[in-house]
Amino acid sequence: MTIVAFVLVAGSLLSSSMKNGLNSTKQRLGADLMVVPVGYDEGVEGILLKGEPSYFYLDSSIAEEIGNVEGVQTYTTQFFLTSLNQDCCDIPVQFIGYDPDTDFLIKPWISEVYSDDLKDGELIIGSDIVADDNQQLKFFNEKYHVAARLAETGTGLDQAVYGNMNTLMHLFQAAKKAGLAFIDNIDPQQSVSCILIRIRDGYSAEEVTHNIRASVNGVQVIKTKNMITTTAENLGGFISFIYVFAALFVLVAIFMLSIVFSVMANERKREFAILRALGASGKKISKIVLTETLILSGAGAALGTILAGGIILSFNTYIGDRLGLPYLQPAPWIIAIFMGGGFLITVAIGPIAMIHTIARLNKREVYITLREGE
Amino acid sequence: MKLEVDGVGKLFQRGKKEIQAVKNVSLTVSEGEFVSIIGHSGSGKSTLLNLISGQLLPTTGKILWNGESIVKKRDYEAAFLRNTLIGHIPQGMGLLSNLTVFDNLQLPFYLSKREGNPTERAYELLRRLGIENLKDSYPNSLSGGEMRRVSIARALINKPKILLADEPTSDLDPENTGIIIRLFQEISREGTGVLMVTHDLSTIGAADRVYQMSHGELVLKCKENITYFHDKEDAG
Repeated sequence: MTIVAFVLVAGSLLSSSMKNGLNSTKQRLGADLMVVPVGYDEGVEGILLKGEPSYFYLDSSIAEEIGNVEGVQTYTTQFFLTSLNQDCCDIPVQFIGYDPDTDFLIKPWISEVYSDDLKDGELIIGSDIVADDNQQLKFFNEKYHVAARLAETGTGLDQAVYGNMNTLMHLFQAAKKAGLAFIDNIDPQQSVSCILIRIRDGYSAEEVTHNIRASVNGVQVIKTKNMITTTAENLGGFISFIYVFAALFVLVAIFMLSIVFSVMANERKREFAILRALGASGKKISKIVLTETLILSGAGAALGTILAGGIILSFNTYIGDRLGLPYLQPAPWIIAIFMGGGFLITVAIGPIAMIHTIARLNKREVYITLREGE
Repeated sequence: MKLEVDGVGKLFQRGKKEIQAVKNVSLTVSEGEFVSIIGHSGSGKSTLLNLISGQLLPTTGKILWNGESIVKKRDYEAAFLRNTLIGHIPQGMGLLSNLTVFDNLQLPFYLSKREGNPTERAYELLRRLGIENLKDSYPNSLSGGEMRRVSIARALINKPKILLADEPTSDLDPENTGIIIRLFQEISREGTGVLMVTHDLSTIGAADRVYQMSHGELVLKCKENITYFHDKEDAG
């Protein structure tokens, strides 16, 4: 029973967290298309979905060209930088610089936790990052003030740090001063990492993609819907596996338990025969047996539910990291429903498995015939 | 309170084989009577008791408790009747090994919905049966005679009208056999009917009426034809 409850509750929490993460990714992506340098589509996916820091750059003039492409309603740019796991920095993170004048993705998200405009030198951090007691973080030997922390998204963006473009430029200079060679040939004032596009009504993603490719060289266009679809397919397969496994597990458990209960009833035939002789009806004996089953089921279900909830919820972050997929814990009330539901289903399995045995116990002459072997 | 068994038969099906365990049996037992049925193992005695107590349904015939047919009763009604009117001493020791003597004694009280508390009655029976000191003992620590006395005390907890005893003295020595039979005589004198089935010839002298059962058939026997004992005082 403990194992059944564990499988049901853990499976529900895992699948719900993965679905939640996927929905969160859809919300956070926001843009219809992303333009990146050729060959860096996996880099973007790594940042967004897996929290793998990355950096790549385009000439910023491309953004203006893209703005003129037919079908593009609006666009904004972002600048990526990464810190390193070295003395210069508190933690290795992905920096994302955004343009406050054109941004339509990050500002709405930041406004949920920080109502002011982000000042130069201020950072907003993802939910997985923790500032020091003075609300500061050190990057490239410079201290930066943390203005706010974003709510969890279950995506790789939880491990990112956000700042306006001026702050990113400052970070860039600090990185150069710290002697980091990986950004040597880049002029940050003339570079962007990606261009995010909203498509005009009446145009399809395919059309605008075609138009961009026809107008601009050296870029790769990513349909964010495709990114999500691929992730959703991977998740969908995994979630389906969880459901099928849980269902099969429950069926096997019912079958195995029905055999166990039948054997147990057979072992207790003398006891039941005595009770019948003393005046217990078949119904009474069934009630006794059912009560015992419910107690056993309840105890096992409670243990399994508590273990599953405790492990899955406690190791939430670790699981998300290991899966490498969007992973966001559902709201407490949803967790309560899953745990309650898993508990009740497991408790119900006992009596279901007992049906055949109870039917046999209710037969009037079973006790006498049971004892014939004695 | 009167038990009437009229033309009762029981047929068992064992695969393709049919076994007539009880054939056309008729007898009556009233309150205060001590009736004994003697017969060898396999003669159908225990089957007859199980029919009378309502645990088995007869294939033919009628079983009436105060004029009411037990055969027509539903399982829970027959069980209630068995619990309230009948005291059943099953074959073998029949005690639940995970309960103390005191709990075993009170068990029948709790099998049906009823008011009151059986504790006082339980203490009274412990005293009467001389097993007060065994109150908190478990069955596996008792002798055969002690277990049988607990079984009898349990059968009396609900003040039954008729006591059904299935081989109550089997596996007992002559001294304990005598104690049990004298108890049954006392109980019947107090107004409770006793129907005892046994293969122990030494016990039948105590009964008011003796039947012999053989191959499922019941025949009334004259006590004078019993060779071991001639009167009740010699029983045991």
